[in-house]
Amino acid sequence: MTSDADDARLLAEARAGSRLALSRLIDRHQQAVRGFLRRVAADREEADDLAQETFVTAWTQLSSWRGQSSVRAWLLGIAWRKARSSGRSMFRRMARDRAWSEAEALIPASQVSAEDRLALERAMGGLNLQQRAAVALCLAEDYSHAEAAGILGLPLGTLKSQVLRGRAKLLEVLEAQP
Amino acid sequence: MTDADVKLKALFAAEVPPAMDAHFRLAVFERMEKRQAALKLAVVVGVGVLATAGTAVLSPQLNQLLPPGMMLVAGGALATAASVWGVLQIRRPI
Repeated sequence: MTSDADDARLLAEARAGSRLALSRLIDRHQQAVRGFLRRVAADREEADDLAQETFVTAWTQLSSWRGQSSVRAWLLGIAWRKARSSGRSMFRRMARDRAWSEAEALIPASQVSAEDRLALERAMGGLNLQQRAAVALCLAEDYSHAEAAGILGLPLGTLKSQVLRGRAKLLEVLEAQP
Repeated sequence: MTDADVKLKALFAAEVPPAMDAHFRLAVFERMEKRQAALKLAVVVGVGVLATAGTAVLSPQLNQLLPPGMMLVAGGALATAASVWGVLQIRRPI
């Protein structure tokens, strides 16, 4: 059975009231939803708060999923709408300060330095919300442009231009790093 | 793909939340339970308001239909039934 088929079965069971199925759906998709929101929202706390709200909303709207997209894409769409309407996702200044102190502890030094981590935070902070979301889906998560456009509810051309602009800005900042 | 693209990819990959997180799942369920309790309370209060308003509107007709004193008994029974139903609704798990 494919992963999508598993998701559809779990969703049907959750819709019928199964708490276990709901738990499994959360376990299967929390990483993707939280990862996406961490790149879009102001800080980790806000991202996790929005991620929890995403799953609560999904739970109240289980019957609205009709199989037109994957369950993960449906959840990411809800997460995006939460982030967009939260009104708290515009600035990353506070997160940048926190990231400085957290970076060394969270990321093995051999992979990514604290300076690079901070540079990414700063670069992402320079993008608008739509660009951050487009970059998070297409560059960080390898979603196709069409899938990302569906998740974000954007025309394909708009999505592509947001990815291009976002990528250019990120590379500009990262390449300026010593 | 340039070196900067590779670096960007590595930076994104470094910020991935854990694959399994029981604390996160529990936090979601806690929110769901709170949301459901609030919703049920709103429904119970709404039903109570409707019942009170309905009784007030219908009381002249009911007074004529029921024997003396029965209005009080019927009202009490209705209130008790509504309370029991409300408590059962609020305590019902997800």
